[in-house]
Amino acid sequence: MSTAADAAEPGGRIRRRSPITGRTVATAVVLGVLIYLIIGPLVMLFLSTFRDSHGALPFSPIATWTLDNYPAVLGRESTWRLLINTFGFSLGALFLGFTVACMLAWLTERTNMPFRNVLFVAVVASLGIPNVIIGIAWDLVLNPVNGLVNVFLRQTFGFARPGPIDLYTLPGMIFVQGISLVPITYLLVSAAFRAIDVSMEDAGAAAGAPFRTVMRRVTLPLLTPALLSAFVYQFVTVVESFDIPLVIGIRAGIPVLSTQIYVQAHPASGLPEYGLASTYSLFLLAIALGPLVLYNRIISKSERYATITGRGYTPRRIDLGVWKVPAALFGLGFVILSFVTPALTLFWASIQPFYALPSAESFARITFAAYGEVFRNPATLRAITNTLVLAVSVATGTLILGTLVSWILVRTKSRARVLLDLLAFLPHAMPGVIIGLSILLIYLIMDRALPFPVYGTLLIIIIAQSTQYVSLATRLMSAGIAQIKLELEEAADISGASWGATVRRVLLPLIRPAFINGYLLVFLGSIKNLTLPLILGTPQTVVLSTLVFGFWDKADTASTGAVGILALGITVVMSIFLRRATLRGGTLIA
Amino acid sequence: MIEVRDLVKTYPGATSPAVAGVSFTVEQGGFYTLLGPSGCGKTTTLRCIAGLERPDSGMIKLGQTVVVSDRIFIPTYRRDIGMVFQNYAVWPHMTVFENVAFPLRVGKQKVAGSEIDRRVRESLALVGLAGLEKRMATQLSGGQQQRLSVARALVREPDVLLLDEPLSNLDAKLRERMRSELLLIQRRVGITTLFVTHDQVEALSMSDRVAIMDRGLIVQEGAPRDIYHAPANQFVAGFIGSTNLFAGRVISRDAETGQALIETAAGRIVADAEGHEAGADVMIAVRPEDVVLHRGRSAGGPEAANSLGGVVEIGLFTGVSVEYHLRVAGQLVQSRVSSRIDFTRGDDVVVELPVHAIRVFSMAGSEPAAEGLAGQDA
Repeated sequence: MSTAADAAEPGGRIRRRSPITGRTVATAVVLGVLIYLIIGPLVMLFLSTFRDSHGALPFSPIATWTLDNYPAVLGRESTWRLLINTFGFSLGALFLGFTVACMLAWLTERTNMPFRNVLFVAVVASLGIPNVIIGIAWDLVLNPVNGLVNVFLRQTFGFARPGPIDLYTLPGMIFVQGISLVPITYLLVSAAFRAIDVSMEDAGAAAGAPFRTVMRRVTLPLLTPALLSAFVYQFVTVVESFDIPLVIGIRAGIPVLSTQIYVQAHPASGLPEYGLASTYSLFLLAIALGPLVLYNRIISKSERYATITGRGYTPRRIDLGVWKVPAALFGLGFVILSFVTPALTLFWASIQPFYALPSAESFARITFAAYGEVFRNPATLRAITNTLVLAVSVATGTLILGTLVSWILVRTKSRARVLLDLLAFLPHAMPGVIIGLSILLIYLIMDRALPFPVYGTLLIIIIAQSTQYVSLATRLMSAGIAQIKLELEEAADISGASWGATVRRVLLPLIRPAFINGYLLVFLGSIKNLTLPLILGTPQTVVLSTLVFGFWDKADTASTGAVGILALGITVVMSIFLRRATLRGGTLIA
Repeated sequence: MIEVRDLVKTYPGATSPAVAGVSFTVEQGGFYTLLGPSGCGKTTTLRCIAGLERPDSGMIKLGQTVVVSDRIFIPTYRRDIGMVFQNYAVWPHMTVFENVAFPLRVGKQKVAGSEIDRRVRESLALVGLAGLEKRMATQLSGGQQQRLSVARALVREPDVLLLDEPLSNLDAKLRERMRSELLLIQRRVGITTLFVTHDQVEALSMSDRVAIMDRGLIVQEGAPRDIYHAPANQFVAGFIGSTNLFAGRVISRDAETGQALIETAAGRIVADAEGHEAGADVMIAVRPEDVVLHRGRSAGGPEAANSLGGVVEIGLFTGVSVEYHLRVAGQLVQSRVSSRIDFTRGDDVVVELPVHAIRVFSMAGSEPAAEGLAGQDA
């Protein structure tokens, strides 16, 4: 027996002096990288809250230690408005997103609604649309000045300009964010529906309970842990969300915590207030961390709900009867709102020299000139190259790191596991805007000490996105590795394979599906991400998401449409490639 | 009483019906078992009776109430049934008490609180779970969850009890104990019971009557003893117990006695072969425990009818008995004998197949036999 195996024995009485093995070195390296990626930014953020940085970097020689940031933030009346906005926006969007997602999940999982498989594909496809593009597309549809629907209503019914529908309101933000929440919520909820043992419901009917009583007394209580955990998870998502609050909320004059942090660090005029931004960040971090701790507790608690599982019938689908048509229309309505409207609007914008309602005249003006122009623009080519380099680097890096972390977590008894588990979980609670801000602070300071530049290069965005996505990669790979029975590795051992050969010939082929799927998800996340490239980027490190945002910010609708369609095409096609099994199983986040 | 007539159920998208015209009657207070391999339609039949599946056609009567017919479909919750599921379907979010009280609380007739309390305790006492009322259902062991599920099914005192493979998730020792316990409860309550299982030992040991199902049809129905000793066809013979099956051809048949001489790979065999003419291809079935072994070589000759010379290939000692695999000419024959009989590999033995123990089927003998034919084609 090897020494490494001895040391790994849980209660091993004989513990030889363990020499430094390859495994120890690997664990140390992985731990080091995680600390660098995750603890570094957090420490920097925390320290910055104690620095007086009016007009200076928090750790420049002219900045001083101070406690003023906390009273400054807590004392402002606007802070409380900010919190009310954040919670109002979050809960409103969650309510909308959950109502729609639960209805869709129930219809597709438990009823004989027509076209339910088509609907599933459409939901997965809309998973691929970047939030910044959803926001921009809805701006093009509903903004009070030249939003298509508003122009149409004014022309038809003679409403006064601007209006009549104003996207730049809290309900407007909630509406758009709510729709963007549906795909992942739907995947989580439908997984919960599938996880219910249908015989639990059958037993209710056999006990004499009518359908509604079974729903209320059996189905709902059984769904509660899963629904609650999905709710908490999505609450964190929406509290941290940045794109839609940026696109709609800033213009609406409705800041939330995430956009407030951004504004403090990137003021439209004046100098950045990094100390204040850091203090706001700590607030946001606390709001996000609490629910996630709760989430983890619910997840571990819900395992106790596990009962003996039977052979699992395909659940009987409830016959909707005359409600089939309304149900299908509801599904269609969602697809129109989540996918068709954004895509068609962007496309329409891209083929119009100036933005106008579809009409005989505007059809006569259709031109693909914007595409030619956009592709002749060196910024576009740079953005495409940068986006790909960024996505490939981040996906490769985080998946390799995530695989190593997962393997140590699942397969070894290393004492570093507790720490690794915590570290791999933390970025989940770190809103992108906080990761962006704290990494910005680090490299603003360290830049002079480093032999090569990081600040202002693509590397800083790669580092920041690695921090952001290492949690996702680890969760996906942990699930993948846990599914591989240890016996399969042991059988290889017994067959005489070396450790290396076991990894290469048995482990790697078995985890490949999980790896590929994780790679696609991180790749997709990286392309969709606006927050980090926006905070850390320069014109040289422009990517597709920042390019679209920039065009939109300059009110260049044709270019916005053209680049938007390009980005949309890439991400939607990629999301359709995601393995159906993974999505169906809801392992996306669980 | 349960009465099922011409039940047919095809699942959407399936090419053949899961249940293809099943009829049977369970007498009042009887213990009736549907036995068959997975996919034979037994569970679907049970689920149709419970109302969990809607049959395409047929009639189902529970007690005096028609619950399924051309024009009637009474939903599950209005049927007077108790049901035990394979995985028990014990609700994890309720206590033991709440689980059992549920049927009393959701039913149409309101039951008073004190009455609920009394009946739940009675029901729990019946299955031996008294005193565990306050536990969460998930804190019970597998066997206890099973009893809980039985208590819940019986608490409403329904007309019929439906059991869907209730013992298959228990370990072997517990399963054996629960068999007798479940039967004892059924006898004590006197409830009409329909039991679905793929385990022949459960079916044979517990039932008053057993129906063997294959591909959506009942292929034989009868008392356990009749089914075991007089399987109606090759499928039943092969499915119930272990059986030596070998192919042969009828050489000649004595019309008066009905005995025929059959040529097989193991040699010529005399058997009752009513209904099988000379020249017919047949299948011969003999239970291993009916195969008698004698030490030594076969003397041959007509007086030693059905005594064939064989060689021991291997013996499997199980404690209760020994199972010998014997090579008889071109045929492998299994024999189960007392564990005190001891042969070693290579020993010469005389393999005797008693005439009364041999059953002869037509070659294509797996087509379902009509009801009531059991034991008549020999």
